[in-house]
Amino acid sequence: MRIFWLHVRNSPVRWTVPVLVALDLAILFLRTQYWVGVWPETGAAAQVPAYLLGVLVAGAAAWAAAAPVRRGMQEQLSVAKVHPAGVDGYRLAATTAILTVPYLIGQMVAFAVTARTFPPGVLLWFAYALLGLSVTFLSVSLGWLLGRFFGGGFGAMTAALGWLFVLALTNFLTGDFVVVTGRPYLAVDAFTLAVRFGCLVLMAVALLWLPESGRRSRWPGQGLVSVASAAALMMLAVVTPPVTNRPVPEGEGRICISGRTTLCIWQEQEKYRPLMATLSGRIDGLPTAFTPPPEVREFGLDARHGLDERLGVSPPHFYILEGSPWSYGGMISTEIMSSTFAWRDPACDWGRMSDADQLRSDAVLAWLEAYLVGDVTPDYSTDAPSAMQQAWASGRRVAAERPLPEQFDWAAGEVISIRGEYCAKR
Amino acid sequence: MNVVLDDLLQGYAGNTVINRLSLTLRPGVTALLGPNGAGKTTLLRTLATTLPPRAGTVSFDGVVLEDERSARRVRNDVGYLPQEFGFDPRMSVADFVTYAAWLRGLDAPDRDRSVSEALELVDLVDRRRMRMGKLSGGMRRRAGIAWAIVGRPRLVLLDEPTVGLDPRQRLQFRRIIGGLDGSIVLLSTHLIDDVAAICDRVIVLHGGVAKFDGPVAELESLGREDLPGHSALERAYMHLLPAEEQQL
Repeated sequence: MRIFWLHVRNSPVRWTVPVLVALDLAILFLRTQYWVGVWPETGAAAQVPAYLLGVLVAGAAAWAAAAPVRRGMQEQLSVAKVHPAGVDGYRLAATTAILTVPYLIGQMVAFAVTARTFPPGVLLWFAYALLGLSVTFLSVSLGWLLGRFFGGGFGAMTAALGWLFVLALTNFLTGDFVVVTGRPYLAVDAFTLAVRFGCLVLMAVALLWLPESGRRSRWPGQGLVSVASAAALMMLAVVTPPVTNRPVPEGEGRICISGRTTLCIWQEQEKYRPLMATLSGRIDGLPTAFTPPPEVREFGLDARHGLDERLGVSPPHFYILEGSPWSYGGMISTEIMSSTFAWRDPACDWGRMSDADQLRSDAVLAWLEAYLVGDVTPDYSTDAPSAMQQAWASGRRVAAERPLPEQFDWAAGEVISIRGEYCAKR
Repeated sequence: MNVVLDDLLQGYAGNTVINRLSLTLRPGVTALLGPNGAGKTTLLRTLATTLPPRAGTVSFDGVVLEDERSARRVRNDVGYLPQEFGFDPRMSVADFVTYAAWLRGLDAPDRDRSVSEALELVDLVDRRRMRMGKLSGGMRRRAGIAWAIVGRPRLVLLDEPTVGLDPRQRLQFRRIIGGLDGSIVLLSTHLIDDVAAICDRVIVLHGGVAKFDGPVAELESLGREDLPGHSALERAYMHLLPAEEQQL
């Protein structure tokens, strides 16, 4: 252990710790803060710096890997009684430990912030924390490999660019290597974690069997075999899908708010319970012309969720995207509009709906969305046709400018009028 | 401990640097003299086990260096300081020497004691917390010697250890070497004064061949008055060189 600390306190990358900690915390807190109070989101948000700072981590690892060459110590090291894999093993371990500390600090800070309310699902945080740890280890491994081959400065630059290449390549190949959110219906795949850490252990072995810089290989093809093994293991580690769908929870696995529409969210989303209660109250207050669905669940809380929505078989659902009320407000509005107007009811004749009436319904939708969210300025932008955008704007103007009773009268009048035109039987 | 070289052939690429050299090293201080390119550093690197022999054998107390495994068996007994040794300028002197002790395979309990002993021998105890980059040239050289002698290896190989040292530092160096009794100390040098002051034996290499191998006094006796040199030893050294190299 004392030798490990000797390596740590003399590592050429120890100065990176404060810089990486500052950057890690900046990414954690300045990017978004919706993750506070939700364990999977907390874990996911705190592992995002592992991808972004991987550029610096890989570069620093390369710099550390090339240190004996830079300092002209190869000849002294070549006389060591300690096996070269042991010499490099301590250096790699110290480098990994140092470059992992900022990530772990970021995760611990995030943990402390969410732990103040300690919602359910802390194991989901832990799994995301491990996922980020594997990403950090991957960037260190890549940097070490390139640093051993290309030396300090050039190796560091190559490693930094190499990490960007890995991100681009995995995005091209699978698109799901980089995990930026911890949506409640997803969880880190335990199998993937096992594969990744298994690959990382084997990669470390391969890296420690790289021929010593400037020395002959201990056996023919040693360098080639080591590099090929490390590269293949890295590829395997990065293409394994990191997250998977969680099973549908029953009973205590979800929180439901009863009302005209029962709203259900994942138990991990406990912090949204007051918002859901407010939303439920607003649904209860809607004019009777509206016929909201009996229940709307957050995505993943129904076994039928995830089916091809183009087939129209997915039951009413909503997402809470990055904590945005406009995400769930918008989707619930759409579900209320759908059940109120019975868009799919074959007894109605929505196929002959005029453009003008379509725009009227769009205005009602925008009003309903603003009413449920309690705001008139959406946090999203859209490139919808200008006529539709104008209709939405008129609906929001109603929500912004008229007293609530007048809004209700207007909305109920529009619903009754449009529905009477095309779906009189309801 | 005995180190035996038997018919050693050594070189790089197509060049032969040491040509069929045979000798036995025993405890005591041996100087390796010779002009640049004579094969001194190559011989030291071979003995340090960084260069496997091309032909012939090198054995440590009967253990023949055949491969990396056999080399590693003897490395705890070998202390080697290259002429241009590397170090981390931000490392403390104590850490630098501790690192050497660990590389030599010393166990934790022995390590601290050996490091203190080595630092004491090179008179750097009060500088142990100083960074290597902050040391003067002479102190840095002494730290390098501490690297080589920590754990009291039975074979100490020093390549030009007194280069760049001022007269006082060279005297200190001689005192340090004097404290390594019981070890085989082989040092390559260009400084005849050092040889006269501290060595029991001299090997003069030229073209990869030992032109002389014997006690210092015997070498001194070879000196001729008509050859250039300020001392008998210098004149004797010149005498061993080929005729075309004897004139200045």
